[in-house]
Amino acid sequence: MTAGVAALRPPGYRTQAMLLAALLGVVGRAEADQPLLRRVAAGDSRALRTLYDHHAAAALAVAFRILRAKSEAEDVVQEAFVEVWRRAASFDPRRGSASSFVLAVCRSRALDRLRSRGSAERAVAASAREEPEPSPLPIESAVQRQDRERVQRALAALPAEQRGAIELSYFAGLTQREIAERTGDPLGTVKTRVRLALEKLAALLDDEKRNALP
Amino acid sequence: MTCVEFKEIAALFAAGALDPPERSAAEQHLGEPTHDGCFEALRRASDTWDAVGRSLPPLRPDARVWQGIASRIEQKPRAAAIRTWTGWAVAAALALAVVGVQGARIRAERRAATLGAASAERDQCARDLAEARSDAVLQREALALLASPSTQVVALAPQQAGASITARALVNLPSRAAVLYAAGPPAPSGKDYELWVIRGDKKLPAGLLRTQPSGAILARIDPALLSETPDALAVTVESAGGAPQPLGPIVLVGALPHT
Repeated sequence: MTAGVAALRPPGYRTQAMLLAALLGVVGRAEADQPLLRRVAAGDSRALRTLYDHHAAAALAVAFRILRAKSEAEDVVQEAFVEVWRRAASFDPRRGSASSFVLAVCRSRALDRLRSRGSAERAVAASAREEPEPSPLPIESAVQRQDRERVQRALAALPAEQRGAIELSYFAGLTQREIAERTGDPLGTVKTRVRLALEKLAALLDDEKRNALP
Repeated sequence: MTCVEFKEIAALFAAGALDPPERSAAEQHLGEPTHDGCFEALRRASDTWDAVGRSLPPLRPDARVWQGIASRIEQKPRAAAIRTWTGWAVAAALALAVVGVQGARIRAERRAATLGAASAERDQCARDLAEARSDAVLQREALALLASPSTQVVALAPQQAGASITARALVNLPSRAAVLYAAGPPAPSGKDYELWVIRGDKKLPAGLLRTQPSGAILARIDPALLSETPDALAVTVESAGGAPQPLGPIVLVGALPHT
């Protein structure tokens, strides 16, 4: 594909084809986003816009869940996508999918902001929980909802202590040592618990996917 | 750190939950040339954490969020872009100096080379544009099929263990329209994927499947092949250019429900 023709194509052209495939279940969103991230790395701002359209709502949900303040979470999403723009070339598909790269950048920025708050401010923010307004996205809502429900069912199927370990690792951004201090468990137990929790979650998600296939 | 040790902590590493010394050791380990499943474990962990994040109900950002991103990426071109631009500027200055010294003959040769390159670029653009238009038409057809209540989604099941090609077909028999979407690696060198419409004991060739660089395959099934209800669709691997009858291994098969 030459740059000349790429410039003539409407935003998300390739993605639209891949999105159709994703809707039909023949290719995951993760695979659909990898070419987009390559285009972002090459300086294509329209590819970044398409990536934003795909992930901004999930990124904002994660940032909001961590920070409990919508306008601050929106600032984080903005910072995160600017960072994706700058760091797209560093994406290594061996380490995870393109979508996990984008969401991980946003989560990381949200956790940075959470850590920069004082502990008193953190406590206030944690208690003053804003309730987000549901805003399903057009076209993908059914697919995304099914995926979410699958993960929620899988999370609910985990033992409470494993689910707690996932919460503390992912949403509170605690290190293994901090989790051990908070729960009073030995460090080795925390390590094992997080590993087992994620392995079990991955296996449950595999089962859910298999059962969902026609 | 060994591969076994890395895989033990891959979940914590992917979540950024390791303490700094262990994180450094893990990064160092990933830089080693050979691994026994380390990246596979890391990718699985990363994608599972990603699923955790996406289990939350999505929130639509305010329009100002994108506006802020757009203005910031315009103001701050990336270092690579700056380097590229600087590089072009330096190259242009050097080229001018060379042209000035070596005279008109070299200028003429360069002009001819530039014209040749531009001509090749124009031809490539024309091919890409034709391909883009063709794909856009197919996409519109697929979207129309998705919107129709009489469209059936047919899953084509892999016939070989470990097959990584997957496919779905959108089939609308009343309007004799069908589009196939597949994803997977390209056919082996010297081979092509060929689509077949199966009716009774007849196996009707329905075209070769072209894999795009993204791994997606999009193909329209000839309406004439849908004049009578097919029993199934199948994909085989044939010699390059295809075959009038299937000779190669069957990789995908999907039965059409008869209503």
